[in-house]
Amino acid sequence: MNTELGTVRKRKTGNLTIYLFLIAPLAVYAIFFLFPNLNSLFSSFYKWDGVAPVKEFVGFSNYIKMLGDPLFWKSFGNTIKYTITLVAFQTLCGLLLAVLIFKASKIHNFFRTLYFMPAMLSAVTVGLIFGFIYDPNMGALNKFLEAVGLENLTRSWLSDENIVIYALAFVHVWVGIGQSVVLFVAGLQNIPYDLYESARIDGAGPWKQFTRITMPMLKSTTLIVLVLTTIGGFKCFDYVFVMTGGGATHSSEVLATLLYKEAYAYSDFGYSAAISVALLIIVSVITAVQMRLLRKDA
Amino acid sequence: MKKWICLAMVMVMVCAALVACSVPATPSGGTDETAETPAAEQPSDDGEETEDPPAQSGGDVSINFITWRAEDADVLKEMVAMFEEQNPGIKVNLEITSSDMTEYYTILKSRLVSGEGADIFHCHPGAYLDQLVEAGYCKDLTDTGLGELYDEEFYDIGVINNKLYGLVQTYNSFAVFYNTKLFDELGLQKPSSYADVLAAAQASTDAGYMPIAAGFAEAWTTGMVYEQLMANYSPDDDMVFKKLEDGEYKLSEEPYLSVLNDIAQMNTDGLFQKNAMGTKYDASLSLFARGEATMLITGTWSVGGLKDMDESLEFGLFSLPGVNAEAVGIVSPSQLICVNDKSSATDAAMKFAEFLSSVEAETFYSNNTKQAPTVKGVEVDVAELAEVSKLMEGKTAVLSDTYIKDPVMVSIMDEVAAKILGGQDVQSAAAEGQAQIDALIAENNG
Repeated sequence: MNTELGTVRKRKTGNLTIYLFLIAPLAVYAIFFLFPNLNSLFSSFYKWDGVAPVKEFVGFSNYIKMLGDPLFWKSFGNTIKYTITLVAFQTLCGLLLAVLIFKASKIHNFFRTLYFMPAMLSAVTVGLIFGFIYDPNMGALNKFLEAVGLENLTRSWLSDENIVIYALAFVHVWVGIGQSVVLFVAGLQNIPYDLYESARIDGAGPWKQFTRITMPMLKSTTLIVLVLTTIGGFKCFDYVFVMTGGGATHSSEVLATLLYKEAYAYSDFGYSAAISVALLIIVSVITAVQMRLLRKDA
Repeated sequence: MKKWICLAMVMVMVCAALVACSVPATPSGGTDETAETPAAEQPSDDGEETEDPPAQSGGDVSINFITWRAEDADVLKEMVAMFEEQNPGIKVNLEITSSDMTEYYTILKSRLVSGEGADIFHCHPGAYLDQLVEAGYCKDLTDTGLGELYDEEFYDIGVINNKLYGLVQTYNSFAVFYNTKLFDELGLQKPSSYADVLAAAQASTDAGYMPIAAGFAEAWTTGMVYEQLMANYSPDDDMVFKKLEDGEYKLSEEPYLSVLNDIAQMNTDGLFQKNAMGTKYDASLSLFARGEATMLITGTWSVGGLKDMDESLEFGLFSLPGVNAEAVGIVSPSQLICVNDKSSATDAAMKFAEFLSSVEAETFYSNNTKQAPTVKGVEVDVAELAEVSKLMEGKTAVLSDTYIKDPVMVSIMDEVAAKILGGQDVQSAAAEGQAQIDALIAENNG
């Protein structure tokens, strides 16, 4: 009896300790995530310039304005283009590079580190580096194209409205590809070698091995990469902000830069909050769908 | 025993988190005696302060001076040292935040709202000053006697509702800088008409130089073109942008149409360097300083910076003429000195404002930053400033009168100009801009 009571008491004390340990992370979560997001939601129903002592309640006006604002839709379209480019290239190129360096097993650690190095640079540094590379007058890219006789391909990379969003997404791909490579290589290491051996005995060539073994076995990893890059794409701000600031003529405006401008350049914090709520909903829905696919696969 | 250790650790972590997240009680400015009083008392619903800021008593006072003027950093540091020497009880923390205006006002506003770290600050005339005055952050300087120390033409720039809230520390002008050595090499004279500018641009291009270097990748730089042209076409209509904001004027009508047509014409004529829309402002300065471009469109605030890039660089200045309009000299008031009315160290901040308004300080500032003075009785001895004053020899327009108040309107105008510089036709760019303006007016009225 005493032993049972002792066990129950020990379990209760153990649970209490666990709950107490949870207080700190929950407090951090509430302060740095829950509170700012609830505050954003709250602010989206007000009109406020950031300094006035009184906020004016405007109900759903900011959301109505958002739905009729061409700039919001332009930014939304740009965000979609940016995200699709990022997801496509970071996933496909990441997979391709991972497979290639995995085959070269002796040096794959070296390449994995090499590809991951850009991720260690700060976004501002990367933005400044590519700002110089893309500079239309003195930039390395145009100078290189001129040097190899491709003058007709030189252009103003960050002001041509048909190109700028892809030029910016490329920078993000360059930075993020290392992360995809690391994840894919980890996934490849978990595929049993016997499967390939059996397939070879059955006469399967490299392409068949890739499509019938590698791809299905990497499904979970691929979904993780897709989720991470999609979220990264929708939240993109730093590279765009540093290199173009959303210009020229909003051709590289994305939702994150738009909500920043609405708050700090145009002093419309309520409208900015409404855009941030919309962005949160969009990212949450897409992530939920992807996570559902991930769970289904698991 | 273990569980008590765990419990103690958890309590320490929670307490640490709570302490780290709590609001510090000590204001940035103010004496130790005022430390327990928040620097900015919470305003009441009508926007008025609920309590007067606490008065300073003995002891050292520390005040924060916030500015975006990174170009003047060394000069301002020396001025702070001069002030501290004269006022041993007051310490001034000079904080230069960001030369990007959006970032600057983000930081300034957050400091003002939090009540920390902005006892005296620089502000632009126009929308930003309006906002800060309305929110009660700018001290009324009307009866302080400081306004009278400045030239009369600059007094009204800091006035809102008949009260003085800002003191114009210096003024600038938009100008096209031309490299005198390269002009001599190409046999060119200082342009005085559009035909002259066009000839200079063509001669530059033919000789392998860039014509006018422009950093149009940064939207604000297009403002230097359309505001200059607007002044050229409507030198006496100081409400020209106000009328556009009120809906009285339309972008598709005069005088805007002439201005927009001129921008298109200049673009077609190849007045600006290739890829100007993709060139950042700083890069345009480099192109000129390195002698790759014969001309540069900027403001007179760049005089000191260009000299810093290359001491041997020799240049002259002229105002950009319109295709069918003579150039007008632009008087563009630069930073205003404002004192935070909600600071706990207002008296010390006022003393610093008095120092900045003195002949001694303004002479030092103008001579060393090569910017035109605004305080009465200041004599400067800078060759480049003589060039600036030449811009004002003919007709002039004070830009603050024509400032666009609404930052969204500024953005719309920048965008219209950028679209035209990017090759879009004037009619459609004006129509798109006007649609945005109409929507803005409807929103502001609704």
